[in-house]
Amino acid sequence: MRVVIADDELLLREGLARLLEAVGLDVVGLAWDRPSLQKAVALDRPDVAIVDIKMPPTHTDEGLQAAVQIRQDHPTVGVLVLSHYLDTRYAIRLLEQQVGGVGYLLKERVSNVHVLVDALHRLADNECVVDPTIVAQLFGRRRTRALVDELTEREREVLGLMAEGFSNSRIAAALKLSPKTVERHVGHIFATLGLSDSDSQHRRVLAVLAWLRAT
Amino acid sequence: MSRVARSALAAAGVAAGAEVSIIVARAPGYQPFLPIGWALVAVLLPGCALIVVGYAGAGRAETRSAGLLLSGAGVAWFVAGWNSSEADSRSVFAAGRLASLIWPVLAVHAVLRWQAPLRRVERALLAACYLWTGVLGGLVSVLFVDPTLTGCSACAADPLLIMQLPTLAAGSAWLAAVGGVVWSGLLVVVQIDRLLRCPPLRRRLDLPVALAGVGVCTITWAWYVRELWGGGDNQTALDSWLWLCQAVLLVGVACGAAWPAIALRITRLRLVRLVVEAASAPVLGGLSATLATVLNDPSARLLYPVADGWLVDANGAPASPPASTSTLTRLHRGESTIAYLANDTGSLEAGPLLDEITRTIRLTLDNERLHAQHSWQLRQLQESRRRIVAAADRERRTLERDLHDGAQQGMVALSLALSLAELQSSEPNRIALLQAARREVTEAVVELRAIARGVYPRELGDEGLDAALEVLAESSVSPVTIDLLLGRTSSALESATYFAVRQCIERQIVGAAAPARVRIRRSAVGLTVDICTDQRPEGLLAVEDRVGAVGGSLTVQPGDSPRVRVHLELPCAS
Repeated sequence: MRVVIADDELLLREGLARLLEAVGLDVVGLAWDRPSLQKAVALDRPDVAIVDIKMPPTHTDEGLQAAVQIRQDHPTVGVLVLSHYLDTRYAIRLLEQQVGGVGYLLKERVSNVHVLVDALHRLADNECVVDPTIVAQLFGRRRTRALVDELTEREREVLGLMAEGFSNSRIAAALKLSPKTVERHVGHIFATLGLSDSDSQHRRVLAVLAWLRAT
Repeated sequence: MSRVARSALAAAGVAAGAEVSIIVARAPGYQPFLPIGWALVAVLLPGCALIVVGYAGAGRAETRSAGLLLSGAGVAWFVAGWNSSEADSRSVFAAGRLASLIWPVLAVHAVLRWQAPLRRVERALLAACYLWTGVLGGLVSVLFVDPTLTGCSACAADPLLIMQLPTLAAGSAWLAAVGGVVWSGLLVVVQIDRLLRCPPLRRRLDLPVALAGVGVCTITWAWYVRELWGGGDNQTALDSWLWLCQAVLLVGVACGAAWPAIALRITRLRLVRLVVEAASAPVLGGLSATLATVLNDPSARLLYPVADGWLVDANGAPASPPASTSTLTRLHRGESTIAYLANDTGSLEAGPLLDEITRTIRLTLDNERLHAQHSWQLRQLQESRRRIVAAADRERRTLERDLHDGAQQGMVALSLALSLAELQSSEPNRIALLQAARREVTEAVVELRAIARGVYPRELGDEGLDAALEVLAESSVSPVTIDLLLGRTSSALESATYFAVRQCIERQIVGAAAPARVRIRRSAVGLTVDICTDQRPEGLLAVEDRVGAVGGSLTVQPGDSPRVRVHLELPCAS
């Protein structure tokens, strides 16, 4: 898999590149700000770009804007936004603006190379990725919990993975269930929460997140 | 010294007055066109008035020399009355002749000096007048003309007569008259010029005496003109009228000179009344309005000195920079400055009126000054509090950024390195150790994030209160509903509100019966914030400090039991 990494912090950029190369990924470009990132993506045609949310010059949300831009210019390139902030609004903003192929992970998550590589593969498959901590925060809300408590433990697990952007087949693989069982669980969850199921996996994630946030 | 001089002048006045009374009484035709009683009044009244006012004036430091001059003019007026065929002796007559020429100069000199110290040009002009009339008109006629030989058979013989030189005497008399026309005209101009230059408040006081002075000069001018073209020594009705006018104008000079003192009394009475009124219904800054009324100058206002040379109004607000046209007059007691009187219509000049005003309203003035100075100090404290909180917030933001950009990044880089080492290692024990280390670092990153949030939430600075409260509510363990209608406002206000809300909902228990409610609205003065919780919040002192720093207030009110409502009022202007 071809990867471009954009982070203005040299240590992180290089560290991430070496880690990914160590697990056999192909780091084809490194960038330190939005223009260099866009250039690298255009030239190197990666499968996924890993983008720090904060980049020069304003150090606020350049990464988000760059992600949206890249998805528009190169729809085949997945974008993983890395952030220090546990802020659900950022994640939802990113997902709302793009249909699949985008992800939002907290920065400390990347040290777990298996999680990272899994996320990169899902992005390359045009799925989406949401950090489990963000999903956990939404689950923690009181009114949410009241409704979520009506679900079985297995269903709660399924709902969490759905919110993190997992597709049914991946959920089945992760929980070692048959795809049919997962589908049944999903159907029951949607009925309990009063959501209408969507054929698009991405819309489904967004609907679940929005529901979690709104309640 | 001055006491001796004014007493001597008064005594001389009494003597001269007695002598002139005798002369007038003895001569039924002293003023042929006036009855003798009126003539007596017309002679005595101006002299007496001048001597009395002059005597009083000489007793005060600021009018000492002017008072002496005024008394002198009164004496000279009496002596001028001796210029009559009824005079006892030739020397009395000679003195009368000299005085009749000198008194107008003396009177005008007194008038000018009464208003203000003389300028150099005025002093020179007056000296020239004295010399010209004294030598040419007076001395020459005394030394070289024997009145008994010029038709005044009843006149006494002249003891000072050197020789009879009627041509020289006539010539010098003509010169004196021409000079008189010139100098009296010039003195009219000088006095009018002075009036125009004078500050308005001063002018109100000086106008009567100055007008009388102008009148005296005008009559003198007319008298000299009559001397040049009227000809002859025969008394005419015109002469009598001129003389009467002189007498009246001299009374006017005396009254005019007394006017400032009278005006002061009147002003003082009005002031006392106004101050009593002001004291019965104290209005802050009311003294400025009172003074504006008393001084008849709407632009007049009081400013009080505070540290560093600043001037503040009665509310302690720094005085707006005075317009280029406005002037400041210092009100003082001894050496210390009590206040400044600012006005836009010219300098008030530290004169007796202002001193009088300062004395009369001393207590009220002190009261208002102390209040103004206190208010100013409070303002300074408020400002300083605001700056301290703002500086603390700035440092919190910087610290938050440093934690994110420095420490957190470094720790993430470390965890990446550990992860890489893990991949490259083949020894199971070592891998386990590295994994444990990586987990520790990851947990530390999570903790650091929480700490950074606690120091200063990023979205509060970047996106504002709205976003910050939304995130706060979302990450709160207990439910919170936020009702907020607001755009961005000042960062001080946003911080104060945010930290107040956070402090209040922090102790909200997890199993609370109802969610904590936060309601924020814009009000006429700024923001009102209501926070309803199940528990009385702790650590409200820190919140009060923040709220106080922006000039706001915090009250805790009982809500529907057992709930508590914390109410904040935050003014926008700070």
